[in-house]
This record gives sequence, C-alpha cells and structure tokens, in this order.
Amino acid sequence: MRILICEDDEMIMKMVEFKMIREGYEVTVAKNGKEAAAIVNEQDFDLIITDVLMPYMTGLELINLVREKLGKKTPIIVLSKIGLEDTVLKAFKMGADDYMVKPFSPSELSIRAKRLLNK
Amino acid sequence: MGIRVLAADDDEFMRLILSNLLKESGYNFFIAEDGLDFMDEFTLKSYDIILLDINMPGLDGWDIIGNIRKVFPEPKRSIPVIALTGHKGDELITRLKSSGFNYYLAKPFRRHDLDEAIRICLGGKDGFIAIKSQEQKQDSLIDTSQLEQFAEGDKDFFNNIIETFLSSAPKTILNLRSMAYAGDWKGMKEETHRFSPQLNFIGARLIADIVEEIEKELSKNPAKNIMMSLVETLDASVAEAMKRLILILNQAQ
Repeated sequence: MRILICEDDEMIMKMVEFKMIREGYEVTVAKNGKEAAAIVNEQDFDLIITDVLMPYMTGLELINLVREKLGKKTPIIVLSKIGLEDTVLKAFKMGADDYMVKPFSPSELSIRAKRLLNK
Repeated sequence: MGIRVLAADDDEFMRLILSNLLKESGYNFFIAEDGLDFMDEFTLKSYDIILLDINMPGLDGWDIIGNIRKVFPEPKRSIPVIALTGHKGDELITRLKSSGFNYYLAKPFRRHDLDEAIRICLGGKDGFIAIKSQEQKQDSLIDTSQLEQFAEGDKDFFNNIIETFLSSAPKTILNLRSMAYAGDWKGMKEETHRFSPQLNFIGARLIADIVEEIEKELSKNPAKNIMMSLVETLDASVAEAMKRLILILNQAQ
C-alpha cells in the first residue's frame, strides 16, 4: 500500500511518517503543496494524508487537483487544527474522506487510514 | 490522587529501573517503549510530569519536546519535562534548555535525584537553576563548626547535642509524614517550628532550607501530593545528615 503525506510541519511529518512506516506502508513525503502537486501528477497512491495549511498550495487546492483535474478517487485524510472547522467543511465538500485535528494520537490516524484503505 | 508521571525509554533495562524507582516513590506512572507509544499516551491521557529519554530510534526526545511545546494547546503545552540523558556536557545542557526541557537527569541517577527533580519541576521552578544551586550547597549538609565554637571545647556537650538530634529527628520525620498524609497542616506548622532551631544548631543549612520551603507551602493552602513529596525529600536529606553525624560522633570518641 502506498501513502503520500503532505505536511510542512516537520514534527507532525516525522510522527506520521514513522507511524505509517511502522504499520508497513510504503511512504512518500512532500514538504509543501507544490511538491505534493508534482508528485500526484505523476504517481498513484492508495491514500493521501494532507495538511490544510501549507506554503505555495493549500490542502484544499491539492484536493481540487486530485478530484477535479486528475479525476482520481484516492482516499484523502485532511490534517487540520482547532479553529479551522470551516476549512474542514470545505475540504469535505471538495471530496475529502476524513479529517484529524492536531494534536492527534498516531494510533488514531493509523486506525482511520486502515479503515479507508480497506474500503 | 498521586502525581502522574509519563516516561519514555526504548531501553528495556532502563524501563525496569525507572519502573522500580517510580513505584518505590509512590507515583502513578506509565512508561512508553518508544516515541510513537509516548505520543499516543500523551495525547489521550492526562499527566503531571514527563521523563523523556533523548536518544530513541524513530521519534526521539527532541522531536517530542518540539511537538509538546509547539503543537499542543495548554495545559499540555507547558507540562514539566525532564530529559533522561546518557551523558552530561555544557553543549547538551544548552540545547536541552533552549528546546524547552525543564531539567535533566544523567543516567545513572538515584531515587533521591529523581524525586528531587520531580519535586522542583512540579513546584514550577526552573530545575536548571534550582538544582544547580542546591548542588553547590551539598557541602553544607552538615557543618558543625558553629556547634564546636558554641561548645567551647566541651566534648560531652558537643556529643550530647548530636545524640539528642539523632534520637529526636526520626520521630519528627515520622510525625511530619503522618501529618502530611492526614492533611494536618496545623500540626505540621508546630512540628516544623520546633525542628528549625535544632537544624540550625547542628549546622544543617540545606535541610533548614527544605523545612523553610515546607513552611512556605504550609502558609498557602498546600496540595497534599506536593507536601508528601517535600516530606519525602526532607526524610532523605535527614537520613543522609544522620549518617554524617554518626561518623562525626565516632571520630570524636
């Protein structure tokens, strides 16, 4: 199973990356929206985990790119934080499948990822 | 309700030692096996203080302290965190301070060091400053020069004072312990008031400082767990002082 993680916060990125590697997934990382866009244009993934606030391109724009321009149904989990509830709502409208509010436990993210991957 | 300690160490041997030390001191605790386990536990439950191994594979102590201090909201964001390190060194200490640690313990450490670090950090003090100044005071645990002067060469008087202290101090500690347990702050005030002059008499400045701190706590509606840990520290220091006094007595005879 291949997972793409897009997150500009190094500490959150490291935590998610280590957790997903330990769960046995093949992990690709992108430090910002621009990098993520270049990667999704060329490769397919089984799951995308993306932050909503990133430099160059937001998580919402990334969802738009995946769903509208590329027409892919890849499950997407959005990483948000308290106070961005309206953004999360937008993300859902645009086709996000699930969301987590920071700070979150790595195990909970892993359980949610597993559920989407088994669908 | 006791003090809740969350620890993380990837070394099984260290986890065993930590668990023994924490159990002996009566803390409620959980010891995570790595950084990810730690993050699960820390995110989902409530703790009072953290003991964090610096060198762990994967998510290490530096990653975790950064996460706690930047990603988490209050009150978790400012929870006291003590680093567990394999070595000392000025460079390491500078980095620990600037990363947001409240203090550190270099392995191996004794139960007394652990209790002291936890007590000071829970009291809201900067362990790097508070403990350093105590280390410098360590030499003044017992200084009988004043008593010698006072005795003016009267050996029997000198020995008598020390013997009196040796026989009364354990009772005082026992009383303080049961009063702290029962929440009898009035009784503790009286007991510490009696104890202070004795300590000054035998030149136990460090212990007198601890008693002073207890008196300060007593004057402002104290928390039971903090009081219990203060008495615990007092007990350990008095025990150490008594050992030295016995040596002094033996040398004098």
